[in-house]
Amino acid sequence: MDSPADIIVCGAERQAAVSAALSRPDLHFSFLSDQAIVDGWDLPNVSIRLGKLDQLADSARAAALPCLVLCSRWLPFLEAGRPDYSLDQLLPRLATAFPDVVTPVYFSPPSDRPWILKGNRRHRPDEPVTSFNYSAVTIADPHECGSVYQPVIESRATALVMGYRDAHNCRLGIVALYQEAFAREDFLMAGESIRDPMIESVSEALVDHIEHHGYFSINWVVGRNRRSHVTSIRPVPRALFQLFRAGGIDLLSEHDKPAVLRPGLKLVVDHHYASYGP
Amino acid sequence: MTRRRILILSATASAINVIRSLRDSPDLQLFVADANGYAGGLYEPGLTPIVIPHTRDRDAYRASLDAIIADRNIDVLLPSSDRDVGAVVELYAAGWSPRVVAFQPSIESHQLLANKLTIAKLLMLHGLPVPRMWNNARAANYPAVVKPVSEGGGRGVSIVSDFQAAEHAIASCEVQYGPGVVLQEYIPGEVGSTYVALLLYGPHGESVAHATMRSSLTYYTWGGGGNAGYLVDEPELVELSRTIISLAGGWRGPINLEFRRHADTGKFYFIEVNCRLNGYSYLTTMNGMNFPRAMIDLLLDQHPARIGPGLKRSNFCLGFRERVVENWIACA
Repeated sequence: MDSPADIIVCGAERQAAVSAALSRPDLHFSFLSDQAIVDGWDLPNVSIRLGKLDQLADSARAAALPCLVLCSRWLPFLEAGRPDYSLDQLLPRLATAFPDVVTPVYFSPPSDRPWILKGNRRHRPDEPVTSFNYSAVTIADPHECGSVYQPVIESRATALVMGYRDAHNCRLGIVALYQEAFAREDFLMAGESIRDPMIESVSEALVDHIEHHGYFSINWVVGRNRRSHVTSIRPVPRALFQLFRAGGIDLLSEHDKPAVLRPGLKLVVDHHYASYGP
Repeated sequence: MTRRRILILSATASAINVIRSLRDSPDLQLFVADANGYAGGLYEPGLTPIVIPHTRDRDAYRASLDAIIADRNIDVLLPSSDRDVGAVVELYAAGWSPRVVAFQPSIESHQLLANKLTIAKLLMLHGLPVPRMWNNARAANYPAVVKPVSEGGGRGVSIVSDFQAAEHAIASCEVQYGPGVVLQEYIPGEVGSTYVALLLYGPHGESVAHATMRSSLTYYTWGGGGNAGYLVDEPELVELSRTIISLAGGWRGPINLEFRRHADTGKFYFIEVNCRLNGYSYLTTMNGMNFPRAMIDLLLDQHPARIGPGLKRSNFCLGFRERVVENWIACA
């Protein structure tokens, strides 16, 4: 018999679902997903329900439990009146306020420089589409992410800022990404927490500026000129819950103090095999 | 008991399967080498991790292997990635003679099987089911598939809808992966259309074992390696695979062949060969068919446990789980 759930996870097909469940083995997680196969059937603190997104979202709202949303597709069903986090809405506004930091996006590809195609409403899966490997006229959007184009920044490093902001404080961490796998999801494969005062302060200022409430993930690119740029901001967390926990920050619990993840915490991917299904 | 020392080359994908299938064997000691110090398999418990030069730096790669084999008294060499298999085959063909046992397929067979274009042309000559290919983007039917001749795991593959997209994809593919691109008919099919036949040949080319499986979730949303799947009984694929390998001159060691089942006709089409265990071959170990253990036994001239039809029928799902580690593996 399943234990009563402590936390409902919407979009449990995402890598972050198991990350959250492993970070708190003392809590019971109810994984909800509209995908046919998800990871996590072998975890003793996880129960899984698969079905149609709108119906699962209805049950999540009715459950009146803390809800961890890992995929932006769920947000319109769960949070009526939520601000539009599409990149075409968000990045131009932030670029005005932070002109030297935030990289804008456009509905047409720039003609005079390399570009990368990004999902407007949510992350576009699979290998990146850039002007180096595609002609813009033939790019489809099979996952209905919306399409926007962003100038490419030649990078020497990438970092991911993840955190949680509420009315009282903001807790965040910066992870230098050493390896990612651009597949059906952008899987985090190896990384290490770092401290960077500029990235920390600007990231916090960005979420303050839009008065964001909840989890957030901000992608940073460190250019070859060593200047750092924001390339996207999404209102969902990534698979870093265990790393945060190792640094003494539990992003699944309420906390009354701001916090920044300490540097030097390291993660690699564990290719985990387990059977799926009831 | 003297433990045999096994050097596994590569620490991702199919190497994970080898590691997990062998680590509970009390008579084996595992060493795992990869050029990428962040490769997940290096951080598995119970093994010795080593960072080595990339295969493209062949002299340094060979020197590193020589040093490891000598210093660590390695008994068995198991390359598990496309690049490591290719490099080891070439080294042996060039006269390398390390004091280890390893599968030694012929370089001619490897070059034929590992090149999507040459193997497809050979099979077409023999009337085997292969998607149509074109030399000219304007002559192709669309949608079509563009892919590099020598990459595995779906890397560099794109599905194109017209000749302009095809020309662009071909040019980009050559820039990224070098000369040699396949423009091929797209075989329609949803999730579940991809099948894999895994075969094991002994050190003398004898057929030892086989398994067929089907993916139910893929690495990319459009296809690629399996992230979930299960064993199936498809003797047609086993026979077809044996025929293909025979036409290529035979094989030694593990090898897997990918097929795609046409959504409308149900016909199987050969897609590609990967001269190693497949990326999710741990599925077979989960079902009581330990291919890596059989490989070790064959190489050590020990009678391998019979690998018959799966004793169980477990499916698998691959999770990319977060693992916090204390230290990075030091570079070589």
